[in-house]
Amino acid sequence: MEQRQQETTGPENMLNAWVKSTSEFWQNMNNFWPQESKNAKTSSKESAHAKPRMEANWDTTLKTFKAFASTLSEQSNQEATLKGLNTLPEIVMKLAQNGLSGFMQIQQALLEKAGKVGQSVKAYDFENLDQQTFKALSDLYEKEFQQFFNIPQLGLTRGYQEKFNHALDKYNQLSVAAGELLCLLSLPVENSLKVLQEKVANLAEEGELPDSSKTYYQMWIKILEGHFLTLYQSDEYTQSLNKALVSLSDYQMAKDAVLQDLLKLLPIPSQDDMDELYKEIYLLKKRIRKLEKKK
Amino acid sequence: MAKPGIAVDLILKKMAEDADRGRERAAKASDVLLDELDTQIGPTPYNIVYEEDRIKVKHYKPKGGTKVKTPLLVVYAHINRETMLDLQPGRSVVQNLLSDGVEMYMIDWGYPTRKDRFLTIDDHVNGYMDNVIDFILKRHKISKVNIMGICMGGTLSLIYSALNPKKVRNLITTVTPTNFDTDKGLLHVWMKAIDADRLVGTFGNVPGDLMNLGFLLLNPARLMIDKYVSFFENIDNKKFVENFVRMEKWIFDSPDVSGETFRQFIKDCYQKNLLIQSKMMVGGRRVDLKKVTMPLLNIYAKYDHLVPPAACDLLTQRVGSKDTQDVCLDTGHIGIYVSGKYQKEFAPQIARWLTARDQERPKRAPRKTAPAKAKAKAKPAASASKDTQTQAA
Repeated sequence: MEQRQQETTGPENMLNAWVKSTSEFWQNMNNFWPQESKNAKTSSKESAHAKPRMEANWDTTLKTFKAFASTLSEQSNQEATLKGLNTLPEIVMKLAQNGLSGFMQIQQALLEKAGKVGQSVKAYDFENLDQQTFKALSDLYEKEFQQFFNIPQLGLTRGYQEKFNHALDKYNQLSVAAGELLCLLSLPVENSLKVLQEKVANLAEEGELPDSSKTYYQMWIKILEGHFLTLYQSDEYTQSLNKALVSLSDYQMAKDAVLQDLLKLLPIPSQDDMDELYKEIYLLKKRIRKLEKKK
Repeated sequence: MAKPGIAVDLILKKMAEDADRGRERAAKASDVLLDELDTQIGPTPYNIVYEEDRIKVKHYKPKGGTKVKTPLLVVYAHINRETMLDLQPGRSVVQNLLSDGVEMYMIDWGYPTRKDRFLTIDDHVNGYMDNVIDFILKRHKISKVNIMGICMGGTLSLIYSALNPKKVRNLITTVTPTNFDTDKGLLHVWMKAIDADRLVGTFGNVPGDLMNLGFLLLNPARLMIDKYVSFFENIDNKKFVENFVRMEKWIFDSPDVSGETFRQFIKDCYQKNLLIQSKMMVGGRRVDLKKVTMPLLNIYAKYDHLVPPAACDLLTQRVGSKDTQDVCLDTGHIGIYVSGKYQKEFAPQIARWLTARDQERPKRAPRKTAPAKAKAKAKPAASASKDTQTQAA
């Protein structure tokens, strides 16, 4: 009895039953075409064999399906198909496994990068906020984050996406460079206040504290001026200033490139178009002036 | 009873007094600020006599008659505006020169726009300046003009004089950088590190605001803090407020600098120091300082943080002129022109110097054969000495 049940519910029988019922279903569906449409095709003298396009396509598809079903019903093909069906879960699993593994690899890489954030921070010690902080931040950004903005873009809009990512990257770099410069510029203020406190403490010890607030202010501004001059003469400041200017110009250029693309959508000329024109006008004017002077 | 180390009572008393004064000042300040303020700059009347593209030439005629026959062309820098020479009544180089009988023309370089980004030093010197000078020469039916250059305008005037010595009777350079190989001024240090190509490539013209920010950063303690503290301390003084606003108007009236001019100025002057070595090329011609043979008055400031004396004082040794004079004033870059102290010294000294050299030199009769002696340099009619003078305040 068990064997009989297997025979009726076995994969071969199920496949046969599916092919049969599917063929019957689509055949019945074909009969549902409106009668008018069939009458119309028979009454037409010019094209007695011409069917409406949709019906013709339907017939072709049904024929193909019937041929496929008939091929599938053959014993050898049935065995191959069933073998394939039996291995289907295995294939699906393999595909899923590969996909998941790739996804996990990306996740792993991201987690590793994120893990390094902490490592870099530790190495430079963020507790003592000084210029090293910005160097660390700059290194951190260049090593760990910048590469994400350089991931190759694909497809029709890849050029635009690349420019946009480039602008974001340059903006981040400008933020780091500007932060570094501002931090340097804040050092004289911080140091001058410390020096002023020491000076005031000494004066207090000597009992010579000035009683006018303006005297304190003048003392401070003089100390501050001296600290700024010392800072300005340092290589660190010159480098930082230069870096900030370079970052500013990089960002400006990257931003302009994005805006130029946007301008192309509008009926107005871009700066590049105008520059080209200006240069031509400039050169023409120069030639005319030269000729006028020769007269 | 022993005297306390810290006179807390006295300090508190002073603080209370300061607070009272502050309250009174604030009350008066609203009257001053809401009142009609005279903050006009450039009040001296002038006529625009020449225009070309964005540039204009202002003409100032002395009311009391001309005492110096040769008119003076004032060439201002491309940074900030020439209105600094006529900031307010009573503090005006223009008015002082006019009252000394000097007829003046002054170039207003205007505001370069994007289309001016390709203009080079050659276009400014051999183009605009030469056209303006030709116009003045024709107008006055003369062969030479006096030139006074201010800061970068002095550098342009020097280049012009080297390339066109036949058109310049006397040259005056004021706070003019010519020797850029010095680390005395922070500007010189910073400009050596600046990437001019990148700046010009990015902005086209170099934004005036960007340069102004750079100048403010040269001394933030004084220029960004102390200056405004001083303003608030005098906010109830109408005259002070008017003068302060005038100065603010001038300082932050900063045209952009034409890109190609900036590029060449930074690279050839600040970074390669070609001008003082007579190696700079302008319009395909070498700027040979030995060709600056006209009398030269070189005025600079001892406490100039933008153009320190070291950037100025080599010039008189490098030019071909036998009649040169260095004058070092005990003030800063702008103090020469606007400080009350130098109003009585700066312009009158220039007028005297020009008057002494205002004579047309007799032309030599043409000779058929040039004898060996004719090749030797003729001494100028006026004082033929290399003179350095330092004026104490």
